[in-house]
Amino acid sequence: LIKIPIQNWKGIKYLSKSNNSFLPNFSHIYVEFAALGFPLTAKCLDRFPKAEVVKISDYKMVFNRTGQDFQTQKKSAKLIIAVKKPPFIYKGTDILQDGGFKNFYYNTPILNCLYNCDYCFLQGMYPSANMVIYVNQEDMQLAVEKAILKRCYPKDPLMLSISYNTDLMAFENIVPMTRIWINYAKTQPNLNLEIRTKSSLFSALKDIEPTNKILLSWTLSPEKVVKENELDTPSLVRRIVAIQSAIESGWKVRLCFDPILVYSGWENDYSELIEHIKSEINGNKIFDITVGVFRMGHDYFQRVRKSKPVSNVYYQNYENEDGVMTESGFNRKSVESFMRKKLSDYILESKIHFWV
Amino acid sequence: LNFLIFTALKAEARPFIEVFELVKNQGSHLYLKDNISLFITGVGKVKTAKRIQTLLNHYTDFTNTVVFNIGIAGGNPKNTFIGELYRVNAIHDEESKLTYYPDILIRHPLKELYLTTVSIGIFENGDHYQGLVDMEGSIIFKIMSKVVPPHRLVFLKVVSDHMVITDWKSLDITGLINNQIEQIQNIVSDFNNEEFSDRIILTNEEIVELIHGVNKLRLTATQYVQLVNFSEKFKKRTGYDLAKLKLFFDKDSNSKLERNKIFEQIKQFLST
Repeated sequence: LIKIPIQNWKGIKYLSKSNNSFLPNFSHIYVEFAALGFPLTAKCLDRFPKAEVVKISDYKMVFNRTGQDFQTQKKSAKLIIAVKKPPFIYKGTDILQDGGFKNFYYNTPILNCLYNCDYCFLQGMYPSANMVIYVNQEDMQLAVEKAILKRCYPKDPLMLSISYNTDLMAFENIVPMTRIWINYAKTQPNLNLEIRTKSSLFSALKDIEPTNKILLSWTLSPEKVVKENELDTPSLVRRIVAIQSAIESGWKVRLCFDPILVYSGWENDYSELIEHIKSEINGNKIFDITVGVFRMGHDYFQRVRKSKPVSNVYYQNYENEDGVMTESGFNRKSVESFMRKKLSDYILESKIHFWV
Repeated sequence: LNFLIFTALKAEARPFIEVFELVKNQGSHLYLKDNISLFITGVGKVKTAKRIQTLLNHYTDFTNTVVFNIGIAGGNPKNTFIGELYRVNAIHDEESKLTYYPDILIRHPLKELYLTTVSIGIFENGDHYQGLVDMEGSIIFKIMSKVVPPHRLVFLKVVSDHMVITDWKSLDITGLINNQIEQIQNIVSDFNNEEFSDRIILTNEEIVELIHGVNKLRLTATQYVQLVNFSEKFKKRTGYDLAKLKLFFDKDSNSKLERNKIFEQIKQFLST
């Protein structure tokens, strides 16, 4: 027989119910001893002068603790400043859209994100919601230079996604990591960068001379999805303003409709979204578009479900496709044909990349 | 939420026993009342580890339990005051050299300090230690972090001395804790917050009902896990409760075949 767990749910006589609020994000900064002395460390500490600073020997002692509750931590995320150890650069995965680029890599200047999107794999990937900033960016850059020399397709540049495990641009007012990497890319003839974001903080980069080597990729979703599933992110309107501003300044821009969430009435919402985009952003000025559906490695998916999922995203009828939890074949086809049709008069078909 | 307080000494426990009107359970050695429990660990890592292991035979369900370690500590004379209450943000075990970090997520009024857990009492050179010094903190974190998330592990220390003490008996330990009892009570109350609870999709009553059904139909452990998964999914997707499962649980299963057939029907129902 399975034992019934006994829990004590009696009323609380002696303790008043707490209305105490969570500490603000970055109330605590954990700094590796090895990271002391790096200019980026000083920048972070200056940015949060009131933070409680705890010196640590290895960031994993904080980041990898067992039993951490990702969603509760999200209410008061801490900052961890660390020195990254190899590997400094990773080959793109099947789940990450390469957007047609042949030498596709990603790196992790920052782990975790200021935003809290329901469907994000980071909740399943990392044991902690705290953010890690690596201060030895130069080591990463040396690794990039080695990878450029060894790239499989020497005629094509190396495409590095620097905002894969975070939203780098959203962090720009805290640490100017996007700026650092853009300036670095300008010094490397065979390096292009993709910077994925939902941020409206393009203004923080406005003074930088635009370059074709950088692809700024904005993820766009219907306002309903933004409100319900992309917690703490800027509204659709603010993202569109940022895109318009980037295009106007001469930057190369990609639009990502990824993931498209399939729910009752999704076609209407996404239809409205596309029409809105068409009216606000000139399709001829867009570099390309990526389209994808919800997908997450099975292990990550299970981990998120077991922890504390707030949303219903993890309780839909997905299929397990070779270890990837994703929409049914029928839904994937529906999304693809829907989006092809909707975008056909907006941009060349060859400029649309699908993960469905 | 439930609250479990660890103190090393009876003298540290006394103010809590009084203020929360706790009564000792002779079997578990826990002092209890409603959702508040207190356990005296004894002094030192070895004794504490042994005693907590015994406790874990009695106190098995840590769902929604906040664990406190409250007691006196030595303090570095440069950054602590005798009688002052501090919150610990790092616990270093001097012997193993390992450091543990409780998660501090909600506001509190205390100064935070580093705690070193030592194996033998410190009577001199107290200023060699960064902040606080005790003899149990690290082992409590080490054991309890296996059953409680780090944001529900709280270490509060009242500085009793600056580690130059010669006559321990002269310390009014109960008085030191008593002087801070109101502040401690407020901090404990701050954790009485549903946002600290574990993931709840199925209510206690629903889990009890599921287990009743599992036992009645003699479902396997694997089928139980599947049943919980399907039930959670059903509830999240539809917003309905699980009352209708009773129709299946009222059936009789006298063979594996019947059991599996009913289980398939349940799965079918929950997937719709």
